[in-house]
Amino acid sequence: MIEINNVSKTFGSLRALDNLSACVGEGEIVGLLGLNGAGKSTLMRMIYGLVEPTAGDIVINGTSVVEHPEKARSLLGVLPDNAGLYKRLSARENIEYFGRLQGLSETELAESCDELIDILGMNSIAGRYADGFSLGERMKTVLARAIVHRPKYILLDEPTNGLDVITTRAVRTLLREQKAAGRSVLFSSHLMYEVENLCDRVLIIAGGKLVAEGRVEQVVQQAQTQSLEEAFVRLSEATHVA
Amino acid sequence: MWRKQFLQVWLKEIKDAVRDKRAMKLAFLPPVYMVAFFALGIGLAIHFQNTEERNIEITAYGNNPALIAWLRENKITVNPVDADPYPKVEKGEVDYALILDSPSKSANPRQPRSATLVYNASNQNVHGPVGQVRQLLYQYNGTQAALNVLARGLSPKLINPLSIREANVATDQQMGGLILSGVPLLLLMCAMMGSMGFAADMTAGERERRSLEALLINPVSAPTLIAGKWAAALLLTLAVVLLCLLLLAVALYFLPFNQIGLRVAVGPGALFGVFMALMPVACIAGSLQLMLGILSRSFKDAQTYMGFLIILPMVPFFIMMTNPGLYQGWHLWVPMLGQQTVLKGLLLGEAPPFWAYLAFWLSAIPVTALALWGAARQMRRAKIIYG
Repeated sequence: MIEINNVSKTFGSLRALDNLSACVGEGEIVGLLGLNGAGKSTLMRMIYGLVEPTAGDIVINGTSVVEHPEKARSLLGVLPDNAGLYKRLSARENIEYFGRLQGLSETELAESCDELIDILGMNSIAGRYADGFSLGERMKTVLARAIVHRPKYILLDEPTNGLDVITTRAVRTLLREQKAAGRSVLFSSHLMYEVENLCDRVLIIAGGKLVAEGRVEQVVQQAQTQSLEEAFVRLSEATHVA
Repeated sequence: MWRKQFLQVWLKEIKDAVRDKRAMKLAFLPPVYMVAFFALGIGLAIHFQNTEERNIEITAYGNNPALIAWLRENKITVNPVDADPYPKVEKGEVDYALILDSPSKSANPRQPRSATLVYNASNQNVHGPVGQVRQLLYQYNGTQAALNVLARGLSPKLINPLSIREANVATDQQMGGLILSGVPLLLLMCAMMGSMGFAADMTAGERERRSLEALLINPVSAPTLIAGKWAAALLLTLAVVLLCLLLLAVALYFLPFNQIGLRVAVGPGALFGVFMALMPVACIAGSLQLMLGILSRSFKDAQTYMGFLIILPMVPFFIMMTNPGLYQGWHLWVPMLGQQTVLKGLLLGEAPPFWAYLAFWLSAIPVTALALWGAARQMRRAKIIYG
C-alpha cells in the first residue's frame, strides 16, 4: 500500500501541496486528476523520492520514502512526465539498462523484455536506435522501461498523452494486466473517459489539496453532477475561486 | 549490488560513447592534428635551421678587403653594395647589413677601422646569423690585434689577460629537449580534454534529454551513478592519451633531429612513465568535467564551462617557460605543475624521483574525490533534475 500522510510542500512562498493524505491500495488502479499546476506532478515526485516533502511522510509497503528513498524506489515503477530516452541505444537496450540497474538477472530480464515488447507491440522497433522515434514509440519504450522489473507499485504521469488510438489501447491493456497481476497503479491524466474506464478510484487535487476521493460514482454524487468531467470542473473551480 | 550497478552504468556509458560519432571525433581528432602540427612545425624548424646554417648572406657596404676575405673564408656570402644599406634595414627590405669605413689611401694602415653591424633586434630571424657574423668579427679583431702585437716583438698573451672558454655540459639529448618543450603541454591538454564531449553528454546531456529523472528513479545511489560515469570518462581519456603518445612516438622517431645535432630518444620506458604520470591528470579531468557538466543545463553550456579546463595545463606551462630554472620539490605535489616538470624530464631521458608518482596520486585523489562527491550531491538536487 502507498500511504500519503499529511504531506505538504512549499516552494518559497508557494504552497504546492497542503496537508494532503491519501492511499493507494493493493491491486487497484487509482486515477489522479487535477488542473495544470494543481500539484499532481509534485505529489508523484514526492512518492518516488526525488522531491522531499516539507512536512509529512509517504510510506510504501511499510518503507518510509523520506528515510529510505532507495529501498522505497526499488518497489516502484515510474513513468515520469516527458521522460527522455538514450537515443544511441535501441529500444530494447534502453529497457534492459534500467532492468539491470533494478538488479534483474539476465534470464528474468530477457523474459520480462520479451513479454513487454510483445504486449506493447514493439517488435518492429525493439532493435532500432531510439533516435528518431515517434511520440508513440518513445512512450511505449519509456513505459516498458518503467515496469521491466515488475514493480509492485506503478506510477504513471499522463501515460497516454498525445498517443494514437492503437497505442492508447495497448497502454490500457497493459495497465489492466498489471492490475490482474495484483499490482497497484497510480496514474495522472486529463482524459476523463480514460479515468472512468480504467480506474477503481479517483483522487482529485485542486490548489494543493485533496478535494475528492472515492469511486467515480461517489465523486460524481459528492459534487452533485451527472458526469466525472462535470464533477472535476465543479470541484476544481470551487477551490480555485475560494 | 552497487558493484553490479556501477558496472552496468560504466558499460552503458562506454557503449553510448562509442556510438556517439560527434563526441568520438571531438575526442580522438585533436591528438591527431595536434601531433601532426607539432611534427610539421618541428620539421620546418629543422629545415630552416639547416638552410640558414649553410647560407648566411650579408650585405656589405664600404671597403675592407681583408675583413671581407675573412668572412668569405668562414662561409659567409658577402654581397657588396654601392649605397649605404642603413635605410634599407630600417625599412625591413634587408634583414641585416655590415657597414665598413673606407679610409683614404694615405691613412695609416695600422689605424683602427670601424665595422658597424646593422640589424633590427625585434626580428627573431636575424639573431642566429647576426650572432655568427658578430662572432667572426670578434675573432678577426682578436687575430689582427695579436698580429700587431707580435709585429712589435711582444707576446699576444699580453692583450688577452683573460682566457675565456665555455663548456656546455648538456648532452645532445638534453639539447633535444629544448625543442620538445611544448610536448608536455600537448599531452596535458590531451588528458584534460580527452573525455570532455563524453562527460558533457553523461551529465548535461542527461538533463537536456530529460533522462536524468528516470535514471534517478532507479534504486541506485548518486555516488554509484557518478562513479560509473567517471570510470567510463577515465577509460576514454586514457584511450585518447594513449593515441596521442603513440602518434608522438612515431613522429619523434621519424623527425630528423640528428640533422641539427640533437638527439631525441623517447623510448618505451619514457613513454610508459609519461602515461603513468598522466593517469592522475585523467582522473582529475574526468571528475571536474562531470562536476561542471552536472551544473550545466545543456550540452552546449557544458562545453562552455568545461572550456576553462583547457587553461589549467597552460598555467604551469607558462610558469615553467618564463622560469625554466625554477624547480622546487613541492612542484610535484601540485597537479599539472608536477606533471609538467616530470614529463619534461622524461623527454630529456631523466628518470623522475621515485616518489613523484606517489605525489601525483596523493594530490590527485583528494581533488578527484571532492569533485565526484560534489557532482553526486548536485545530481540529486531537485533544481538540477527539474531546473
